[in-house]
Amino acid sequence: MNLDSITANIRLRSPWEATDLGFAMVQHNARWIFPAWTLLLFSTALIVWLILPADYQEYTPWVVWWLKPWYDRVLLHILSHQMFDQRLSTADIFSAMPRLFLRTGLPGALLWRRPSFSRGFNLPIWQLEQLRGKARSERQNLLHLQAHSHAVWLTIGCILLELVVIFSLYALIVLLDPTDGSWDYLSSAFTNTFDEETRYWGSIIYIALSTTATWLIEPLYIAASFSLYLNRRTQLEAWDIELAFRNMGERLRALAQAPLAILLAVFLLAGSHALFPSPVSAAESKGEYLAEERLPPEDSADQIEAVMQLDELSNMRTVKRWERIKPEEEEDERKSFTIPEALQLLFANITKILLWVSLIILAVMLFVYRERLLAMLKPLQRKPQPQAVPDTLFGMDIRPESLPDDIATASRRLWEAGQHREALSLLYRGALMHLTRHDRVPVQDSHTEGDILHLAREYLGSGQRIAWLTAVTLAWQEVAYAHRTPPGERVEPLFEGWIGFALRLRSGTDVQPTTSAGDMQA
Amino acid sequence: MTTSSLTLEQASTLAERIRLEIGKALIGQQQVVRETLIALLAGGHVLIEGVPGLGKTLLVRALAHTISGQFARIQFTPDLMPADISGHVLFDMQNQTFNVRKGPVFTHLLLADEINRAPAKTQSALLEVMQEQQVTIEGRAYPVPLPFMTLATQNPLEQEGTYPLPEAQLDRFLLKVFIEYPTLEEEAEMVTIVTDQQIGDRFNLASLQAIAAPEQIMEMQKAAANIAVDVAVLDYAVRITRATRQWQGLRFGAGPRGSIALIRAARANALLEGRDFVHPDDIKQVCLPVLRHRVSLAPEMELEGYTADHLLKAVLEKTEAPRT
Repeated sequence: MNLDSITANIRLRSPWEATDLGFAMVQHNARWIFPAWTLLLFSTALIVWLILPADYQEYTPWVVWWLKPWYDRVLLHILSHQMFDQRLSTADIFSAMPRLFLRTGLPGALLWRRPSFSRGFNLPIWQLEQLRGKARSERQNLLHLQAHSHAVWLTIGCILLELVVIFSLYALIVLLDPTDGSWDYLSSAFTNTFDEETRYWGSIIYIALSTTATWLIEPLYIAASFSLYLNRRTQLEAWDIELAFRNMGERLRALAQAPLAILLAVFLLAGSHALFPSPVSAAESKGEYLAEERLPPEDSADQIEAVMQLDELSNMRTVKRWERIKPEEEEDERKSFTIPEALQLLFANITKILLWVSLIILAVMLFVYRERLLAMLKPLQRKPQPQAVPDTLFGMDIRPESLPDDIATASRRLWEAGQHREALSLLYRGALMHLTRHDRVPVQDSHTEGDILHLAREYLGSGQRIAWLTAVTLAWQEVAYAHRTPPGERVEPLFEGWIGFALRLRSGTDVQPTTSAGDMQA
Repeated sequence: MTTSSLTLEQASTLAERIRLEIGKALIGQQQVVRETLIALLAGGHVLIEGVPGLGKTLLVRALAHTISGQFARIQFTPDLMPADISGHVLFDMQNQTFNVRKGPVFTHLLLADEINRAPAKTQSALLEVMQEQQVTIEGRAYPVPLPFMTLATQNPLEQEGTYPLPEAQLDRFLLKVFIEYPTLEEEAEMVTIVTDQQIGDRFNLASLQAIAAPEQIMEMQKAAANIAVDVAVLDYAVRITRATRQWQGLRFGAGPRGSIALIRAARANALLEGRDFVHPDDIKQVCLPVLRHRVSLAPEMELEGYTADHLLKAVLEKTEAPRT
């Protein structure tokens, strides 16, 4: 690398200044960058579009995006030559492509290194320094020490810029489209309700816009990354100082060739020694002074002090910050409250022991209550909390204690006494009591008789019990709402069936025996 | 067919036969057929809401055919005039007399297709006939043939250029019925029936039998009206209706006509099940079609995507069942 032919002004810059230099490089050298770049990018996009099967052509932008490391190499090739004042023709660039393809670590860059956020910054290490393996890794780590975060933010910024360009172009199309077609297309993209032809043209527009955004932003990204890389190397290898010395040497050499300027050269050399004083040079140039009179050390010190007071050299800055009003007093108070080190140690040790004890207790409790905790971790497997069992339904008291011991006998007695409604009511109450308390049927106040039957079917399934419940419900509805007494032959089986209803209940697998008097009797 | 008074059992059997006969033409849509029959038996009118092409006209034509009744259809359009519905008076030059030309409303079953496409003036021409079952032309009332029933349809999709029915008009409809798309099997069966040896896409109603006469329908209506309603059931219906008036999320609830409609429809429902008394489940079964057009949702509930049915179900869940 010949630093003499470098076209940029090499000096130590802040990372963002370096990034800005990269952008300026692209603007300055656009005419040598963009022809080849345009040809490369759009021909790649076209080839990808043609190669992909018709069903997958809408994925062209993703493929073009994925191939960015490939274009980056070409762009860096152009930019690095521009940096050393070598103008490459489009033919030169394309002829260099096979070499770039083979010798710049492209496969890795397209595969596992593709998601890297410092892709552009790392590229010169692969391509320009040609380092591989451990050497590359060490070099990269060294360069990353102070520039990695900026490289990452540069990548993120460029991604966002690309998105901004894409959305701006979409907005431009929407603004310039006299029909509402483009807007309709964009809004229907969220519902996916467009036809095949619209989808086709929509994907072509998207390819064009995304490729345009890449075309615009990618050279800026690579140039800025390259500039960041150069700045980091300038920082590490003092390129600026080397260049300054080289320039000086060149100038002095030119002066030495002119006989009339020898004296001036000597004079300048002395001046440079004054600017870059060193013990060696001072010893060598003993006896040569700029001033005729040699000042005593005290006067020199005063003069130096006076010169250093000048604005150009004093480097004075005014910094404003908040200060405590009485810092000394607080400081003193703090000092007076200093705890002795022994106490601190004691406190630390006690706390440590307490923490260990707590940890052990926690572990023991975790073990003891493991089942409960595991149950809490499975909320979906928990059974719903049983609802509060109602005491009254349809105005009927269905608490077990309000019912007689033998419901069937009591009902039959009422029936025979001519209290038909009361008899059926008692039977239905008994049934409701069992349903709500033992079968856990979630009966609510708003449930009608039909609703309860419907619910009971889910819990009792089909069989004798549901048949009996249906018959009781119908008889009850008849006496309650039609004010008509069902015939005795229809009611008698209900009294007899009560025992079966209750017995089946007891033999149920998921039902616990109850202590209610009615059940005991049954 | 006999015109003597029918027992409840006969009325129920007849209703079941009508239902089955209509079911031959209108494949699927059993709930719609049932609710339409409820309205017919309760002497009410039906507002049917559904997208075009689900067989609304076929339902009315099949119903008219099975009850041997007359059928007329009015396509409501923005330029339809009230006289186009009710009829008008013409001066006969030859006889020097005024003759009344009765409109299509003089029929047993009137299909008011897309009723919300006509302005309120025309819609309200139906008010009198729906409520009083008569039409006043030039100051003179003409009764319509009984049984009379209006089946109005609305399209829920195209709201542009429509005139929403005013509340007073909506209240006149006993039921609002939603007609939905048929299931896969039902649609396949329907396509088979309609296209099998048929010209065009109309169902051949000639294959349907006339099950009853209009007089028998009136007898069935009488049988339904005589079904017993316990005071507890009546109280339940009133409590449901009243609950809609203070319900959060409803802009306004149903009026007393809602309670009346609940009982009428519940009676018809009991008749369809062959019962001579109404129980609370009848009220629950007919509650949604009876009340969904009589309540209005608060704007915020509409914005959140709730429908009247959601809120009415909540009302039912919170209203205590009868306590006998």
